[in-house]
Order: sequence, then structure tokens, then C-alpha cells
Amino acid sequence: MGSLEGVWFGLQVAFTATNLLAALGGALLGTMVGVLPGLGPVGAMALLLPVTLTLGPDTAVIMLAGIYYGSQYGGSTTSILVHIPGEAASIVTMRDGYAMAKKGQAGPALAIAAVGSFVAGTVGIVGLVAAAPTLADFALRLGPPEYFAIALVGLIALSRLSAGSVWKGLVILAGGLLLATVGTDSVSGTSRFTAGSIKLAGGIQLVPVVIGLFGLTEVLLVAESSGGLPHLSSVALRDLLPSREQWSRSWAPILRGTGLGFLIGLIPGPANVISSFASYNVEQRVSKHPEEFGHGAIEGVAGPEAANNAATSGQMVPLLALGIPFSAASALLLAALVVQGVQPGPLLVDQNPEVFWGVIASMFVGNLALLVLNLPLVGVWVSMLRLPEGLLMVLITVFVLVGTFTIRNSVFDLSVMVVAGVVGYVLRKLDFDLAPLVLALVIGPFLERTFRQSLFLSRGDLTVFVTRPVSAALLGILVLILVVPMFLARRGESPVPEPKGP
Amino acid sequence: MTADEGRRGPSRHAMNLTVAVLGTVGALGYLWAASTYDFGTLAQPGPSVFPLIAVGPLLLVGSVGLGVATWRGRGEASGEVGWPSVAGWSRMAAITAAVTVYAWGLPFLGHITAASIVVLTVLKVMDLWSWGIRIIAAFAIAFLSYWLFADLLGSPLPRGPFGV
Repeated sequence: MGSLEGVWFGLQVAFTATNLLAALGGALLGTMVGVLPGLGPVGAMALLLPVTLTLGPDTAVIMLAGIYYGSQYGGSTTSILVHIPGEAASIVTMRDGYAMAKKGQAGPALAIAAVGSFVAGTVGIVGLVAAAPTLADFALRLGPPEYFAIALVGLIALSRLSAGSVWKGLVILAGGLLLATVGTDSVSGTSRFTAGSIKLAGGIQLVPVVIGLFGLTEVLLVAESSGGLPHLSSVALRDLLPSREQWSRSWAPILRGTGLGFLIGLIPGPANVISSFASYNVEQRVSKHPEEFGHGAIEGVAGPEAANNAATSGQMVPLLALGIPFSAASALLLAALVVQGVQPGPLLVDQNPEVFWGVIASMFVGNLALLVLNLPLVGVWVSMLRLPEGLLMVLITVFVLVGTFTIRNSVFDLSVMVVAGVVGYVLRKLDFDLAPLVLALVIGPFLERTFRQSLFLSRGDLTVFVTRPVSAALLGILVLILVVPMFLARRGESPVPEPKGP
Repeated sequence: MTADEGRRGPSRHAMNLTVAVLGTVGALGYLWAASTYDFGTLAQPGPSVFPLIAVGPLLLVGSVGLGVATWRGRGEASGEVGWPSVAGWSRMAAITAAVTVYAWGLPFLGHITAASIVVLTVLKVMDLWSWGIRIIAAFAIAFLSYWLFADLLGSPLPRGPFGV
């Protein structure tokens, strides 16, 4: 069966009344759960997986796809409306999305996020269909040295999202890496920096830190000034949709983010986070309005949202073509497929083409359902901002607390969240950009693991990082990233625009 | 809302220096702790390698650099910190205390009671409604959140001493 025939066949499977309902239901459930702080796509899929067990395999997979995309969009919704990221990948969307919401532009931000996600998801699926075997083969040729180089370049390059103090940037980056090293070392099993505490042996979890740094900190910032949440007294229909200028400024970032996110999705690890940060960085550098970034630039929403969604499609390449999940979310999708009797891998497309193409089609249907459902609901989401500010604060605070607890049913996570919130408040006051801390916390373990794996494989030969072509090229790019700004600074030019992060 | 008084808090210069000192001390302590773990060999790097060669030095360099730049007054100490007024500090302290009570008291008080305390505190801080309505709203929101997470989503939440 050729690709076009397969896609047509898959669409015939997907576009039945039952499966369309499943897609819409999954997207709605996923969005509602994704809105809750602490419950990102993985949490939402885990919670809602039992719902799909009573369904047939094709219907279950379609519903799961809807849940996955819906929960990603739900996380973006809270990022934009109330500055609480539903997941780490929504942090960069939050920078400009929330700024837009404060200016009464929440509707356009949400609409662009929905459309950008749909375009990226659709193009990503096309890429998946066209290039899955080839890309999977390329991805398998990369090893720990290449992954280390990618992670290092990503960490250094992406931590410079905003201009400002280099020293503060280093401190905050090191702080994130420090937090990432607390706990049990995954390679040797040694407990590091735990002071004998069993609770710390499990490490510092990412989500409580993110919720504390951005959620609780925002609550404190609103409390200090007794106001400041975005508030709308009325919502006109025209205010819900982007203007022509906003549309024209969004298309290029969406397409760039799609390409970037899809390629990054081929890399194992935190692809969604890296792709959204990378896209923001790119858009900031190429934008004709760099001074707007951090203050409500539509490109800062369009690009990262597209990249995040495209990375999801990219992650499906190794999952479907090789049966290898490259992230927690795709691992959960793999588990769900196996439970339904579907075993992804090289034999799937030959032995069960209807299943393979059905899964592909389900991704498209889930993506479409997200757009069809959430675009009309933009007004409903934005209407949240019409609630009395005190009530909104109450709901945010309660959901932040409960969402954090339900991650692992851990009181320790709550304590981490509270400490992160207080520390985050102080750091925000001192103009520290908090995003690099989260980036370091996400990438740090991956960076260390790939570094040590590289040395294991090369038997201690450090030149492995420069003798392998891809790794050497990436490290060369890193040197340029570090050297060029210094050179330009000596000449009195700044390579990075001046806006401060939130 | 009560009228805000003058803003209170340490200067940016003092705060940056504090962060620099804490960072430097923290980095040295981190490096010392890391040195107690196995370094291994180049072929089999141990758990102390990454902290010793990357994290610790990065934090030390950043903290010392911040401190020196602040001391020399090179841009790091410019501008004032927008600290809140006394009333603002009180509001933040109240919310911080309430969420801390939730964080530490949850296993003993249960979600309903602990969440009600948080809701009451936030409503008082935001000066919304009368006390009667606040109490009703507190329990309503606590029960609603319990139903949403524990019953609907199946994420168990602790119950208090009276099963509430």
C-alpha cells in the first residue's frame, strides 16, 4: 500500500461518526484536564487512559490522540490567561501570551495558539508520512556524543532568551543544573546532595518547581499590589480573533516553528521544551519587532506553540517506525497502543497497514478536533477573565496546590512548590529570568547522562565529541554562539534584543 | 483596599550582593559535598564528575562575577527594586502562610479543611465579600475541588480526622 493510499484508507477509518465523536470527546477532556496546573499531557493521558480501554482499538487511539493534543492546548490556555504553565513547554508561550492577555489580547493569543498548533500538527503528520523510515534511520545513527552536543548547544543558546546580566544568567542556569543533580544518580545509584533525606532521594521534580516559580509567584505578585491579573469587563467578538496584522505576522513563525519542532522531535529527550525555547529564540532574532518580545509579541506565541506541536509529530517517527518512544508522552502512547493489541515497530506498516495508517489519521483527526472545538471556545476561556479578581485568585491558588499534590500524592512536592514560589518572587523582583532555570532542570539530567554514556562508549576518550562529525559541528556552533556576542559587544553591538523576561 | 504606604525593602545593591554571597557559599558547599562522591575514571565517570567540573564551577563563577559587578556598580545595582508596601508585604505573608499550612497540614487536616483555610485567607486578602459569604465560598470551593480531583479524576486527596 502506497503512502497516499494508506492515508486515504486511514482517513476512511477515522472519519466515522463514532471515531469523530471520540476525537471531539478526547480533545475536550484533554483540554479540560490540561488546564489544571500540574497535569500536562502525560498526566492527562494517564488519568484518562482507562476511559479508552472500553473502546475499540481505532476509536481508542483516536481518542488518545485527541486527549494528547487537547492537554497540550489546555496547558497553553492557562499559560496565556493566568501565567501558570500547564507544562514546561508552555513557559515560553507564557512570556508573550500573558503579556498579550494583560493588554486585552487574550483571544487572539489563544486563537493563534490553536491555529499554529493545528498547522504544525498537520504539516508534521505529512512529514511523518513522507519521511518516517528515512528519518528514523537517521535518528538511530546519532549516539550519546551527538545528543550531548545537542543538549549543550540547546542549554547555552536557549538560556539567553533575554538580554541582561550575563552573571545573573549564569547563576540561574547553574541553579537549575544544581537542582537537577539532587537525588539518586541514575547511572551509579548514588544518592547525591540529599543529606540523608529519603524524600530528596527521589530528586526535585520539575512540575512543582515550575508551578511554584510561575504559578505561586504570580499569586504573590498579584497579592503585593492587590491587583494585576488580566481583567476584562466585556468581550466583543472582534476582540477574540487576531487582526489581519497579527495573522500576517504569525504565518512565518508558525512555519519556522513547525520545521524546527519536527526536527527536534526526532531527538530523544525533552523535545517539546527544547523546540519551544528554540523557536522563541529564532523568532526573537529574526523579528522586525524584537523590542516587543516579552511584552506581547504575537510571534512569541505562534512560533513556540507550533514548534511544541510539531515536536509531537516528530516524536511519533521513532515510535511508529521503530517502536521506540523518545519521551514520556510517546511512551504512554506506546503503552496505550500495546494494550489495544497494536505493536508499533518496523513490521507494523507491512503486517498491519490499516492500524499504522489509522494511527496516522487519528493524529490528524485529533488535531482537527482540537481546532474545531477550541477555536469557538476561545470566548469561553477568555470569559474566565471576567470573574472577580479575588475569585480568580482563589481558584488559581487552590488549583495550584491541588494540582501539585496530585502529581505524586506528595506533601514534599507541595513544600518544594511553596519554596520555589517564594524564591521565584524574590528573583523576579531582582530581574532574574526564571526560564533558564527550568530549562536547566529539564536538560540537566539528559546532559549529564549523555556525557557519561559518551565516555563509557569511548572508554574515556574525550576526543569523541570532536571526532564525530555531527557532534563536532554542533560544538563548533556552540563556540560561535559564545564568541560572536563577545566580539559584537566589543564593537558596541548587541546580538540579542533588550527586552527583559517576565 | 487600604491605601498603600511607602515601599519597604532592601536596595538592589544589597540584594544582588546577598545573592552573590549566598551563591558563592552555596557553590563552595556544593563542590565540597560533590567531592565526597566517587569521581571514577575517565572511562567510567562517577557521580561527582558532572557536579565538580560543570555545575559547581558555573555557579561559583556566576556568583563571584555577580558580586564583583555589583560591587563595582556596573549596571547590576542600577534602579530600585519595586518592593511592595507594608500592606503588600502583609498580604503576601498571609497567602504564604496559608499555602504553607496547606502544604504541611494536608495529611492531618484533610483537603477540605486545609483548602477552606486557603480560600478564606485569599478572599480576605483580596477583600472580597463579607465573612459569611467567604465561609460559604471557602467550603464550596473546597468540596468542588475535592469532587473534581478525587471523584472525577480519581486522584485521591487526604481526608481529615472526621472523614472530611
